[in-house]
Amino acid sequence: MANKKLPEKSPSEKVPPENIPSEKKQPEKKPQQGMWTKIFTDYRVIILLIALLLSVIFLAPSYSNGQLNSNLKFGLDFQGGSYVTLQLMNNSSSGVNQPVSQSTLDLTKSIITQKINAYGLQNTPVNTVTDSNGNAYVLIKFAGIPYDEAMKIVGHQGVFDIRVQTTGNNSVVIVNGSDVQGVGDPFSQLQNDGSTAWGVTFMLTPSGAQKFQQGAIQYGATTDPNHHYITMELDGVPFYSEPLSAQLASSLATSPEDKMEAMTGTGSAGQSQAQDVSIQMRAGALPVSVVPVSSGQVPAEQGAEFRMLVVVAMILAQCAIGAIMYFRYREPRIILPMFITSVSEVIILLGVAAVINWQIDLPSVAGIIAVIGTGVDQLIIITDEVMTTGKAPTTKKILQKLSTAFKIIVSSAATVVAAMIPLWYLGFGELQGFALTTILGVFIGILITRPAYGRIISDILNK
Amino acid sequence: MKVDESNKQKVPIQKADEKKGPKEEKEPDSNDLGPFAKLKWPALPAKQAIGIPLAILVIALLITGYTMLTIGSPLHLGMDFKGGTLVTIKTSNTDSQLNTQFSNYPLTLITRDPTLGTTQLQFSDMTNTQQNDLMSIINSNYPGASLQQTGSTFSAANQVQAVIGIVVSFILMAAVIFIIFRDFIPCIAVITSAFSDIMCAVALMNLFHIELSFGTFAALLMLIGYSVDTDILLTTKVLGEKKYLDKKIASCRATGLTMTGAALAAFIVLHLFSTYSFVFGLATIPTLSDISTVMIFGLLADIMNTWFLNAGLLKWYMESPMGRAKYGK
Repeated sequence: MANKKLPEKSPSEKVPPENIPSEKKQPEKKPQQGMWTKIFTDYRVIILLIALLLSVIFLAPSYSNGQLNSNLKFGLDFQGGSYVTLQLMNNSSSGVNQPVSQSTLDLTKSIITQKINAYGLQNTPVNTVTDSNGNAYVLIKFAGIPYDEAMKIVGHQGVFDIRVQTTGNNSVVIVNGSDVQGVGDPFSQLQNDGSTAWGVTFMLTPSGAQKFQQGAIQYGATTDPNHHYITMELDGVPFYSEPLSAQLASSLATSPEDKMEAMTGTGSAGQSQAQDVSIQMRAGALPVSVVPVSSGQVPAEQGAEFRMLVVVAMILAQCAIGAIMYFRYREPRIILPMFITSVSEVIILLGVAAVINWQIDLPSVAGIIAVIGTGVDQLIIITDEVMTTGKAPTTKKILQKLSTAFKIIVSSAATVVAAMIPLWYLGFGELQGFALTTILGVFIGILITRPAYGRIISDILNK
Repeated sequence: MKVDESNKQKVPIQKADEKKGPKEEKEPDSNDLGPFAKLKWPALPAKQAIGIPLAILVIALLITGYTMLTIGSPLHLGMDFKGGTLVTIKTSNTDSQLNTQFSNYPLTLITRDPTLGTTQLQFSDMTNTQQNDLMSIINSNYPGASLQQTGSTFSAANQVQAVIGIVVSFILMAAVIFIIFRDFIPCIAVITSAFSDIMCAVALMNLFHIELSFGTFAALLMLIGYSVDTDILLTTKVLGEKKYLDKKIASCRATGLTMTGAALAAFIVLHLFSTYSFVFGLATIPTLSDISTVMIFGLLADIMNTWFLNAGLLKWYMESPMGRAKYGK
């Protein structure tokens, strides 16, 4: 088979390359070393090597405790967690949902981000999307926490009120979330009965403290605390309802009080309630109410298994491509550079993903597979163009062939990018990973790896 | 299915341009392009080369139209586009126990995967309070559950976005093709072939009951990229050529089949691995399994559409008075 490969070339082509130049081209070029020097001093190859080196540095792979670690971030498909998509409901004026303005959407996003940070989950991706009907959505992906917990952080508006009981079951709001200026972390106290009580301390603004004092006096909470309970609620749900203490009642009668304490109950229920109250009060209420429209949860162990499976799947896919290359070219001189280029493309792509802190999710993996596949396709185009330069390859002819190959490559790259752009903007959020990896891969391919491959393969084949 | 139909009718096609004897040496593209070049490619007359893929496209459109009539959408919609809740748990409870446990919720379907030992519960759309209650019941009773929920408003928005997305992608792709080749008929050939690839994949998805999810939607878009690759290769190298048309096409075909072959091999491996990983006691990845299946469908269709439909149209155009007038002969 190998003999049929390049039938019109003389058998001497088959002998190791170092012999050819010494016989034929001795006067002009140095044997063998010349080719490699030429390849490794070419700017395209140097760029590829630098890109590879930088990618490896940014990825910083390390191996410890039987696990391969790197700077690569994984989305919840691969590490477990939950995702929530919230629709912003702006139905203040009428029953119909009004379009949400961009500023409202941005404000909502920043408050949600604060809430998530207050919970201790920095770097959680929060994205916003607006659909063609003007509906606005916030998409959040929580790594490592289950659905219920995620919903507690972001699933409600977080409107905080302090009410005072007037008569019977009636009450009025005297202070709201905008009167709060500082919120402490949840604290616990050991009760007399041995249980642990949880609560949150917070400060009122000077005007808030005044409002609280006036309200308490006006509705009789200072004079008759037991019939005028003070109630604190979050989104209309009371979490604290007690009479004013005798001490506070008497001090309030004369001067405003800005230090507040809300007890949320005992045990783990009290603790999680206290945490919720603390987070919601700290970040403040969202400007509009939110409704979860899509959500999900991936168990952590499944994520870890998926991660391993995907790596194996990609290696197997690369091997399958390698097998087809062998079947087609039967030439290690061609297959090796091709294989290395294809792998480099993926390494550089992952390097870029690490630099921009992109979280790899399942759609990104689909994108990487698309990049491997189209990348190899284009390497085949280059190879076949360069291979068909005929018996006496001149530099001019090779360049001409390479430029035909690149015309095809750039054309098809342009169509792929054009087809992917709408996905990024329409972005259900869900498919942004796919669009991004595909577009990045195409650019890495046409700017870095394929020019270098073109150079390497034309030197190797036509030496 | 399309390759074997005419393997027998191999006719020496080179007759139009050249006597057979010296062709090996004379032409620039005479290098042996590997085993794909030796493939006995059926040499169909232009009419059949164009007609058969078009007939298959019509059949694909009919299948999709039938699906559209029966279920109201061109594809079976998955959770992402239909809405509802999907819960995957590991349990030894019987169906009736599960039905009792979730009697307050709109449980529509229980499916079990004996190889993985998992049970999937499918719920139709419910209110947010119901949703939250359900999630907490599941999380407290079945640790390690996987959940997926899409509300009806969001899934409706997803549907609209998907339609806009694929239409805009296709139009942009077509625009780029027109900018590259600036010649109506070859451009239409490329675009029709890409369209047919997608429609064939869609029809096969309907036949094999593969649902439209974000993953398979991405695969359909990926097909646009894969399918124009070979079409651009063919058109770039053949458009404007006066001589050795069949030879040129054959040499492109060797390259193009290697490309499609490599992609097919990768996706077949991916499909086998992501579908049958349970054999090794590992989880399956349904998303990757579906994506690779759709890609395999589309790539098979692409072999037919590029090397019969597009090549046929291009050859017919180059030999027609119109093409001769434009490129001179």
